[in-house]
Amino acid sequence: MSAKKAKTAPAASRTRGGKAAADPAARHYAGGVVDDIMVVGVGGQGVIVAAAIIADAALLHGGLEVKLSETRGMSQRGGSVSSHIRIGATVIAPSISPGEVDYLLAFEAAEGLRLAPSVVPGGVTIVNTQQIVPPLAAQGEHSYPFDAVARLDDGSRRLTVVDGNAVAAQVGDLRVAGVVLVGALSTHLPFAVETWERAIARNVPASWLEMNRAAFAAGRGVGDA
Amino acid sequence: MERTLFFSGNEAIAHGAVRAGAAFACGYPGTPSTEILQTAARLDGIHAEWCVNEKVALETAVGASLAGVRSIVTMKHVGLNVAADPFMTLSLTGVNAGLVIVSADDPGMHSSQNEQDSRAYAKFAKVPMLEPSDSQEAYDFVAEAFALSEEFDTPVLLRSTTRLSHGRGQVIPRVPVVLGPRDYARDIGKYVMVPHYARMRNRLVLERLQKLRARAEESPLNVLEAGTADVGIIAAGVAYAYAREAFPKAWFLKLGMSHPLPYRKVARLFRQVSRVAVVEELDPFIEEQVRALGLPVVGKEAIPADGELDQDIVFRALEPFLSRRPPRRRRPVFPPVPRLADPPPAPGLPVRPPVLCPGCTHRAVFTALRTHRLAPMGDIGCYTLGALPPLLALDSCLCMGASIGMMAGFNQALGRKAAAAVIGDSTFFHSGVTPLIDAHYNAADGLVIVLDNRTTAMTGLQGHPGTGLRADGSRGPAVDIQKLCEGIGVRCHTVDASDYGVLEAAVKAEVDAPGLGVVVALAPCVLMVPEKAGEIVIDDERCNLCGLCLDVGCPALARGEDSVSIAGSCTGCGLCTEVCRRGALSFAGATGAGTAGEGAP
Repeated sequence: MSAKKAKTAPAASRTRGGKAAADPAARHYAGGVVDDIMVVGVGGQGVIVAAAIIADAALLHGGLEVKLSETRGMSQRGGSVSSHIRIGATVIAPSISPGEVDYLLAFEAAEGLRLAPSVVPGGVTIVNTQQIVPPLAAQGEHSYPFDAVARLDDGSRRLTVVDGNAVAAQVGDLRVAGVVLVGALSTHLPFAVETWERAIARNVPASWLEMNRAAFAAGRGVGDA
Repeated sequence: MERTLFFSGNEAIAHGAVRAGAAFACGYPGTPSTEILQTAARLDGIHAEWCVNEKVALETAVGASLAGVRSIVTMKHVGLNVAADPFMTLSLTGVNAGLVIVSADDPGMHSSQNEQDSRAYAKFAKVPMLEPSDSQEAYDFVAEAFALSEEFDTPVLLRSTTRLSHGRGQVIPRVPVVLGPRDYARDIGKYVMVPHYARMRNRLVLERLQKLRARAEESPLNVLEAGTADVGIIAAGVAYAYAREAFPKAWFLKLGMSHPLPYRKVARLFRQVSRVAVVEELDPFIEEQVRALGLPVVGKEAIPADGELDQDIVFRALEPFLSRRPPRRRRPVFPPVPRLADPPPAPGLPVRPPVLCPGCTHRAVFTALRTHRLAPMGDIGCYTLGALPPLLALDSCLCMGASIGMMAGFNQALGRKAAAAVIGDSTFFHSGVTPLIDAHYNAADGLVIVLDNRTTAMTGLQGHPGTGLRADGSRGPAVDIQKLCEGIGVRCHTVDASDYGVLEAAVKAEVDAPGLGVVVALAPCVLMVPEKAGEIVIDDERCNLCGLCLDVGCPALARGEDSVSIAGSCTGCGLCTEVCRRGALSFAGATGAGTAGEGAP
């Protein structure tokens, strides 16, 4: 179809104040372009915080409409978690249609494999190498795809593989792995590093800010590679 | 410069209530409605409290309304069933200060036991239903709802859905509403619904419905939006956003107030275009009313009647219809459009159901209970997860508080103790006390286990009367479950659920005892206990991978190559050391074999 085309909404009254043409975001989102970003992982990995940082970066940039939609309820109990972030000059619907994901940010390898078919052809998949084996698989009732990253790396997609835990450990604490992944995504979006850092500051405790900044910078390096 | 906020639908409703001058909020937690009251509890100018259940919540809010305070009561869709009794008669009495009931539906059942459409209750009770489609409308519509409530002397339903409640969008705040006093005035004919007065009030309700329909015709909540294509779409709530994005050129009748339906506005849309579709999540609520007007419309024969919609589903469902030439005489009938298949699953992927946390003592109760031949009737909370493999520890889960009544009926029918009930502490207060009283009164046999983890865990650790913790964080008196049961006249023992031997013995004693008994399995939710209880170690020599410990279903245990492995998420609860028959699992520093189970290897 196109819902992709349908993302161009006509209602001029919904458009918020535009920025000067020099704004890279104004160019990026010209002509009704909407970035559909999906963040997936396992409850407890920080998916919801990462999604909040991404949405805040767009909000702090200004002049854009942002919609954030997430599954929770079961999210603190080890189930699959996903967040949808939609950014554009005008965004009407709150969630992303199947197969229309422009950027998939997977915090867990098997969840990346699960959602990879949702990415639009030419879209970007960023996958963390961390593997979290659910209890039923750990007990031998189900299989777990330990080869998930290799299966994703089949040449059919724009793939960035990040060892988020290793990078986070170098930075100082495993808990900042999520922000490493946000850093890897950030190179694809038209927002300044300073804007990202303000967005991070709004979503992490002050005492953790420096380490999160370092994690973001490290992840940005991976995303550039 | 205007200040723009980024609110979830739930936060927007809470802020919208304060902006509308509401000073009293109450409810019972239930996904996806919970954060409305949690947000209200943090805001100035409004008093917020969790009630024992939705019925009590609504009754409490009615009291506040009579006292002259605008009141909002929040619940999930199935909570409105619990509150249905006061709700239906409240339509007759009306209100004093405005009263808004938020019912949050869960299309797709992300976290619910059914998918009922709350709009049916608006029609049932003949009250207005507002359906915001994004966070800004969620904020704005609350004030509209309160104004309607007072002008038309009626409770007003406001329907959210999971996507609205938990999705975030930008919100521009509005000037606060200024209210005059609405002092309480005694009015027996209005508030005492004996048959004589109720008959009179019912006439007024029927007249009110016609006045509300006239208001719906002129209300800016219901907007006819001009398009450029010869097609029209009637939509409400989040479904409007999906349809708007899928068909940007269509005419729209956007219904912010979906009950009562503005018939003339619907007819006006039909005069503008030759083809009309209705896009709504769940039931054909609007569609059936349009059809009843004799107007041909496409609805649920194309749009799925279950689950969440999205722009893609709406587009593919209606595209064949809306791109076709206008129908002449026959109304077009379309085969159901299959939903876009979920992405084809990569082979070999495990299911990832939610699980009980490592160290959760519910697991110990299930382990103790399943050694007995009793059908365990379950209830609603974290412990419902015990019904999943590998525990398979519950036979039923119907609705909040159903476990004890189902157990009693089961045992009465068989004339013996054949079923047990497992219910959480918060759920026990929600609606477990009344069926316990009933089971005692009717001399039903049974064993009730109250999983007392000192919180409402599943929805995020809210307080309840057993803890005394209030919504605003203050402490009130705590109700003692054992004394409550004993006060009813039911035998009750409280045991430490973290001491497996004691727990197992108490369960066995109650299984063997005649008549009705309660065991309170007490241990704080592991999410509230920051420190580890100890370090569990595995003796690779002794472990023979028999799997007894894995049957406990702890996420921290996994089948390794030569022995079971223990993950860092282990809290050291020690349940696995209790079920291991070979002494392979033990606390670090303990003296090994001495702590092992005493059974045969």
